[in-house]
Amino acid sequence: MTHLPLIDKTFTWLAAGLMLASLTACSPTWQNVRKEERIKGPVRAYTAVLPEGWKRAPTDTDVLVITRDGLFLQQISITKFELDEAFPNVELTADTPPQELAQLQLKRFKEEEPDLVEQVDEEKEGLLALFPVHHAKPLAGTTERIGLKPFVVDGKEAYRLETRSYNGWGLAYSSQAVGFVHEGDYWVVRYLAPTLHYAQRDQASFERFLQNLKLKPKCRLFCSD
Amino acid sequence: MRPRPTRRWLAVMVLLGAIACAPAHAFFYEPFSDPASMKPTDELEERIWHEAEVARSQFVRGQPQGATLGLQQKVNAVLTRQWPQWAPHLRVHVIDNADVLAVSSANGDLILSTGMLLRLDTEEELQVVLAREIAHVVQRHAVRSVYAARVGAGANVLFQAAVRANSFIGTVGLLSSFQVTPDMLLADGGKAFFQAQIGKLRDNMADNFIRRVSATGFDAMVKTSLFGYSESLESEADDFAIEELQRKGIDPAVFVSVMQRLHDEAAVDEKKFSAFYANAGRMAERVSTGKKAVARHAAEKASSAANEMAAPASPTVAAVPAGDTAEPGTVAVAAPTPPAETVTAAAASEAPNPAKPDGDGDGVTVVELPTMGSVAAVVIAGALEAASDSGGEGAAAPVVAGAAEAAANASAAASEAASETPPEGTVESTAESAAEDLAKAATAQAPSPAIVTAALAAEMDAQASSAPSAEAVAASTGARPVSAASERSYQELLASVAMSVFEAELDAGHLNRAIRNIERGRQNVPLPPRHRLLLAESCWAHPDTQQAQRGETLVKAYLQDHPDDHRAHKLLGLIALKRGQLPQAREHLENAHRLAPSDDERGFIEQYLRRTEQKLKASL
Repeated sequence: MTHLPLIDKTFTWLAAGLMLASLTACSPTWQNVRKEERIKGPVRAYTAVLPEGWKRAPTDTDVLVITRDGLFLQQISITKFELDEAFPNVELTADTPPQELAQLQLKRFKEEEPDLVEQVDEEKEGLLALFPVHHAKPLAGTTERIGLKPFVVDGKEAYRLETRSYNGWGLAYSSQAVGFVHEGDYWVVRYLAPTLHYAQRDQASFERFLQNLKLKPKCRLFCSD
Repeated sequence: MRPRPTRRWLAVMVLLGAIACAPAHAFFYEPFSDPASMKPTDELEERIWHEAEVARSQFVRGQPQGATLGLQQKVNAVLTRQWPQWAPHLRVHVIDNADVLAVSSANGDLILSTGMLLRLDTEEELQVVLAREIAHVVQRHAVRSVYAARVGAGANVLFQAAVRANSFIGTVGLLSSFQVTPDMLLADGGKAFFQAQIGKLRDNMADNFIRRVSATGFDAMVKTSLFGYSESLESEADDFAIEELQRKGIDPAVFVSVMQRLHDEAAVDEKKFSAFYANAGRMAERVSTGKKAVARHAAEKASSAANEMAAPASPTVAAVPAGDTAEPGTVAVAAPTPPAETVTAAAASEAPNPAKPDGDGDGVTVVELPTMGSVAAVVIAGALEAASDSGGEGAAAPVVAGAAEAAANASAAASEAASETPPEGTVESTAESAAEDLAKAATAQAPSPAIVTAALAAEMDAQASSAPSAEAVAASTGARPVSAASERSYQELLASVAMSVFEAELDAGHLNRAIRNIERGRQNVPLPPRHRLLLAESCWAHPDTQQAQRGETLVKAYLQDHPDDHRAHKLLGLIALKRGQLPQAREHLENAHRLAPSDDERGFIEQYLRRTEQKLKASL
């Protein structure tokens, strides 16, 4: 009887260890795009072509983030929001004009710069902690509108909003956001890069990404491949 | 474990010592007593000055251009004129930003946004904000804040070290109490265990210290100057500003009116967390401080007025005209000052009151004197009257509202009168010199009617060009000298940036702020007519239905005056579309499409038109 608690403890530790190992194995990691690759978005609402040599960040299934050299050096993201949750106190409909969407989106950019990719633990300690990604993030309060024009994504009416903002080190960022309502969701495709060197260099990749973006009817049943 | 309580006490004593020493050391950073002493005194302050240079890039990006550059030159001119001794050590930057920002750095950078300038109508009001920011620089609030944060962080590290040490000792104690003997651990493994514990503790302490100091140090300096220093430091800045205003003869009520305006805007703003001057709570504190100062000021004036009434005034101050009929020692009686009025307003209200001799013919000028400027002007007028009486020629100069102008006119008239009339003893020469002295005093003390009027621009440029030290500093920093000020008036420059500020507020969804800011009456700022359309757009976008209704009324009124404005047609089209009045919507949108100035705008209108057509088809 005296040994039983010890055995119980051993099994408990063993179970905990196995669980931890399995969780670690399943945790998302960065994926290299070795050659141009077509992917399906959540609920197959779109297909996109990932440029060769870029990397896909570990994110929620609803969010796509790709970068070539690193986050906040250049990144293309696709995010989606349900219409009634896209903006606080605003009820969007499938019929909401793109210009109104753009105004709401600009207001959001001025209020917050979302964290699409969570910082991993290794980045919080050691040398990487000296250059936290958080510091590179453009400051929402510095966002200003550069241009706004109508746009079309795979035949769907959209807006294209160009903004500029600065991060805590005074580095200027260019952002181009394309927003539209599709299949009952509000979608934003965004390119974000420092104006210095990167924004212009990878602009062509973003344009190609937009051209190859195809919107599909949402899969509502038996969506797994 | 006998040493345990001793160590604990030791840690507590060190902690208390650190805390106790903190405020004492803070006193070493005393305010700069004069401009020559404005330099870093230790390594910490040197680093802060260096960081301030870096921080500038967060606000100031590239050289200002156009109206922003013009505004910067105008504000710089006011700084040079009002604080000539400090101006060479301070650098004004006006940034094109709609937020209500005024930020100062330890090294003398004063950063003001166009959004802030749009809230300041007169030079006195600009002086309020400038004085507060100068106070932060002169009183070294940045280094004091960083120092306090460092001490706080240090104390925190010591505290944590004490806790960790205690925990470590506790762990050892725990191991001992559970009889974890060396034979239960490998011999060198046990040693490694303890060494690792000690190493971890040391690393943690060092890491913690570095992190905390950097986090609460220079970043904090930038942030506090933007979001506000501690309340005690901000109160110091208030006191400094109010004292400066009073020293310049400006009623502290101006301070209250500016802060009240900023508070009222901030209170209705949809966004609650914002920079210092857009923070309702902090502005409420400023209003409270200002009101106390106004009350104090009024009490002092009342008391001095009572003293003057009780006793004969000093002849040097009263400068009683010494005409044939004048009685030496007769005083001009000061009336109580109207409370809570700006000096300019008070002066304007006094404008039509000419100084006139009283009816009994004793030659004594008896008038009500509510402001310093008027005191000077009245006395000058009396002096002139005496001079003209003695010569038998010339008319008494009227007392004009702008004291500077009055003083200048009076001075010129006095010279003229003196040249035309032969001197009669010492009386006239005394009157003339008194007039000149008072003219100078009035020029120095009198509040100007607006920030930079055309009349003041020349004077401002002349003063700026006669300040070699300021120019030398400007040259050394690469800034354009003040004398190169734009030919456009301050109000014109302000009007030219107003629309972008209003648009930015609308973009950011600060509808209440935008509405207040657009609607507020401004002295001499010729806003372009389209500001009425922006007001209509702000009202229409407002969630309040009454405001939305008002927006519709406003845009209709605007369209009557400007039938070719595509944006007004578009807004009316959108209003009609939203209300389901589809034919009207189509008509307005088609007009907007026809008048639209760009393809992009036409593209968006087409999107609206397609929706309107779809709805029309569906309704049929």
